[in-house]
Amino acid sequence: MKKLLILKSLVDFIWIVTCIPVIPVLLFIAVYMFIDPSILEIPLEINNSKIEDLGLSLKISTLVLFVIVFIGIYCFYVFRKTLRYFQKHNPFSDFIINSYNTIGNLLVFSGITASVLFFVIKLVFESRIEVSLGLSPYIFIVCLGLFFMVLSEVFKVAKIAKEENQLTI
Amino acid sequence: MPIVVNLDVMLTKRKMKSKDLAEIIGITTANLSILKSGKAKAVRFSTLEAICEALDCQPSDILEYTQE
Repeated sequence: MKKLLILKSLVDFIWIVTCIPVIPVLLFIAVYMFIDPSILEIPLEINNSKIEDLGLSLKISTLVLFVIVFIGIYCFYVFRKTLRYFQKHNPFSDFIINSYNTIGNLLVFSGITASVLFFVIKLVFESRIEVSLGLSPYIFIVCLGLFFMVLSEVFKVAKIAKEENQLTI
Repeated sequence: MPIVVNLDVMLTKRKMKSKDLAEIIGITTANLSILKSGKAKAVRFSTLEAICEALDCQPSDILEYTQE
């Protein structure tokens, strides 16, 4: 259980330092970009992108990107909750199984959406088609999502086995 | 479940209380209650043997198959 404590502390640290401050900043940019589009130059500069047109298509792309980021933050929140549940309750429960399944589904969805979004952004704003055949972060996110779904199935099997074992007289 | 546990019937026939049977075969009354109510998923051969010995009966007197 020492490893669980270390993991929980790390996840808590990332949650407090990264996730909580990112939520209001992204919400502010998401609203403010419709008032003053020049605010989009900040994230573009951070990512070293050279996009001149700050029109509606870029705003929509940014909104979709923020939704993906929020989905990621929600996944992290659910994962943090499962770690707390691990500490206090029985790990083979419906809550853990459902949470891992939710995390898996959301990660697969966000991975696929992000890959499609960046493909479209390159096509629309830079007028080029780019297909990455190596280990891209999107494939990694999809793999992680599938891993969580498999983990959920494994926990379901373990729960049934545990129940059967408990009900063997 | 199509397997019915007739432990109650045998206990009545032998005029024995659940508590006494649990004590004889060495399981808790809670577990015996699970067995009697049909909630049990499996029965160990050792438990079945102990029950048959205590109630002087055959496994078929305790377990019965019925079509659902």
